[in-house]
Parts: sequence; C-alpha cells; structure tokens
Amino acid sequence: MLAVGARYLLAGKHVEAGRTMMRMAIGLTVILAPLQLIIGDQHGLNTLKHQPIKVAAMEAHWDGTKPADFHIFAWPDEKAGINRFELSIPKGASLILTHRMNGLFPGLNSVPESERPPVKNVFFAFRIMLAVGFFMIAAALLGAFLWWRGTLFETRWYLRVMAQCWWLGFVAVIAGWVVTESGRQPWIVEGVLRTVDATSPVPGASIAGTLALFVIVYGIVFSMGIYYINRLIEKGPEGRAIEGSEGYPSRPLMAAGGAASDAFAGKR
Amino acid sequence: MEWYLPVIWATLIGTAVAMYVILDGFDLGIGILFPFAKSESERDQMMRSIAPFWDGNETWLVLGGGGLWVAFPRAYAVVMPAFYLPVIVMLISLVFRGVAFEFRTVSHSKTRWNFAFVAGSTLAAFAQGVILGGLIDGVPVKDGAYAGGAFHWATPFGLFCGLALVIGYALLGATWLVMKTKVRLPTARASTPSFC
Repeated sequence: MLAVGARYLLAGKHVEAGRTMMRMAIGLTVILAPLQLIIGDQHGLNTLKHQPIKVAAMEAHWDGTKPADFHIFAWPDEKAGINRFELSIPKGASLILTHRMNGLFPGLNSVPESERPPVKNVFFAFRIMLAVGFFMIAAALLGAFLWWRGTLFETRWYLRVMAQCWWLGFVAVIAGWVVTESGRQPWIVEGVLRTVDATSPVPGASIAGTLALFVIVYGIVFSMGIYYINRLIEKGPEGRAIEGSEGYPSRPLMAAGGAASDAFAGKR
Repeated sequence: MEWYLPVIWATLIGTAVAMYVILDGFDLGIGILFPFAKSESERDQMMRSIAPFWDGNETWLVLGGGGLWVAFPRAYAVVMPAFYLPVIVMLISLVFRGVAFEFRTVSHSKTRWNFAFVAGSTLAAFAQGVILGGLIDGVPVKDGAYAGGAFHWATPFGLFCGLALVIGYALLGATWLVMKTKVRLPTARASTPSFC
C-alpha cells in the first residue's frame, strides 16, 4: 500500500488517494513492524526450547559452552565447524535468546554432523529475513517522523525508495520458510523421525518432473498476476477496475438483458 | 480403536467425495462445455452461472483428501504414491482453471484464459477419472507400501474411466445450464445430454 501510494504521489496522479494510502500504511507499519520484532523474539525463545539446533544454525553458533556472538555477517564453514569472515556483535545472540549477557544455549557442535541442518541456508535466509524486518521498522519510523514534521509527501527520495519496496514482504516470508523448513532437517519430526525415512515410494523422476511443472505454472500464474495487478494500479482507484460486461452475479448485466438477471435471481 | 470411528469417517469421506463429484462435477462440466458455446457473451454467462459456487464446491475435495489423510493414513500412504502423477496433474489443472475465473475478466484477450479454463477443467476431470479407474483396477501393495511404478494407472481401463468422467461431468454441466439459464442457452444446450 505504501509503495502504491508513493508511486501515485511521485507520478502526481490520484494524489488524495495516494496520501491516504501512505498515511494508512505508515500508521499500520509503525505499530505492526516493531510488534513483529517482539513476536519474533518470543517465537525465537519457543524455537530454542523445542528445536535448539535450528536456532544454533540460525545464529551459526557452534560452541555451546561459551556465550554466543550475534553475527552480522559470517561464512559458516560446515566442515571445520567454524565461521569465517565474521563480523559480530559480542554476546549479541546470547542477549537476544537468553536475555542475559552471558547466557548459554546449545551450539551446533552439541550434536553429530549428521543431525545438523544445512547451516548456510538457515543462517543466510535468517539474515535476509532480519534485514527486511529491520528495514521495514526503519522505513516506518522514518515515515512517521516525516509525517510528524509535515514533509512526508514532499520528501521525494523517501517516496522513490518506498515505491520500489512492494516485494520486500514476500522475500521475508519466503526467507522465513527456508529458515523453518531447512532448519528442522534432518528431522521431519524432531528427534523422532528422519526426513529420509518418511519419504513416499515415488520415483525421483516424478518428483523432479512435477517440481519443474509447478515452477512453470507458478511462474506463469504469478507473472500474469503481477501484470494484471500493475495494470489495475495504473488505472487507479477511480473508475471501474474491471471493464466490460463481465463481473459478478450481483451486478446487473447489460449485454445479456433480463435473462441473466432472472438466472441469478434463483440463486441469490 | 472404537469400532464406530472408522465407520463414521468412512461415511464422512464417502459423503464428501459424493458431494464433490456432484457439485464440482457441474462446474467442471461448464468448463468442458465451454468450447461449444456460440459466442463470447454465452461464455460469459456460463462462467457467471458458476462463479459464486465453484470454489465452495472444491472444498469437498479438501475434506475428502484431508479426511483420508487423518482418518486412514495407511490408505492415504498407498493411494497418493500410486496416483502421484494424476493427482499433481489434477491440482495444476485446478490451479489454471481457478485463476482463469479471475484473470479472464480483466484480460484484454480472453482466448488465452478460455483455453486455460477449458484445458484445466477437462484435464482435472480426466485425471479424477483415471484415479477412480486405477482404484477399481487395484493397486499393488507390498509390506504396507505402494509397490508399482509411476505409470501403473495408465491402463486402457483407467484412461477410459477418465474419458467417461469427462463426458459425465459435461452432462452434469449441461443440466446445470438448462436449470440456471434461459432464452438462447437452453435451446442450444438442451440437446447436449442426448448426445452423451
């Protein structure tokens, strides 16, 4: 909503609607995005309780006998069991996960290598999700500040950045899925059933074929969806979004005359 | 387990499948009959006649599949691998015909989404028939797991069942049109059942 509002304001059309959209979006985000952080914190504590190794992979935390740093960036080396190129906030992860500076939580080394998830996937997907989340919080706070100053609709660089941000939420959601689904490997039921023992007797070729099919189908459906949504946005909130005689049964049908109305009268 | 639980669940799943065949049958049938409409406005009318219902109808499929999974996991574990390909084809077909409802009304050229609607409806019906045929034919099971290949369902009988179901759904769709539309459509459509 923020992106579309910003886009309208930049283009100088549907200005009133664009302003309302931006006010609504910022008002919501400035509450919801920080709230998300609190929920995320609670969720993290819950995961630590039930799936500690997933959390260890999210933080690329190897040695559970020491407090954990929060890695802003690192390249987890899964063979050596260490991180390379670390850029870290000392004891940051301990503070986040145990709410104490020197709190301890299990590291990846506490389980054999065969019971660890693919650390890089989990670690980087989690970083991406966090980055998007913090960007949203920053964007909302900045927007609220500009709004308070009364310059929100004139700050063109802010509008320009916001207009390009519509896809960020999807990235965060997908990154979150990657974290949760690859983070629970190699278990399908934590500590009980391994994924490898839970597979159905379906040949690999079938899976590969249908996976490719799904990618193609979703590629088509989503690109067409984005195309149509974009056209709808171009058209703007004024006027009818859907042209022509088609539509929904509640709408009187001009082309078909009374016949269709009669037809629908029986159902509604 | 109490003896009556499986009975209740079998009744529930049976009801869900029967409801699905009757209800989604007619709107899949509309899709199968779509190419035989004379004009675009007839097609609009056909589609509008099912627009408020079709997604509700498909929910019965979810209840049937979900019920089988929850209540009879062993049967589910055998049936799903056995019919993996037809099931996926059915799902993808349903995706295409589902979006056709939405996209057809906003697109400039309706031809493409007409095709998606027809192909999706027909293929979904065909896949369901194939699954039914395969189930009647029987599925090889060893040690409680499916023991056949990926194309075990592809028998003449199974394919014939697929074709029969397409025609059956078309009949259902035709009766729906007769019931719900007036003026030109019934005269054009009323003859269809007799051909089937």
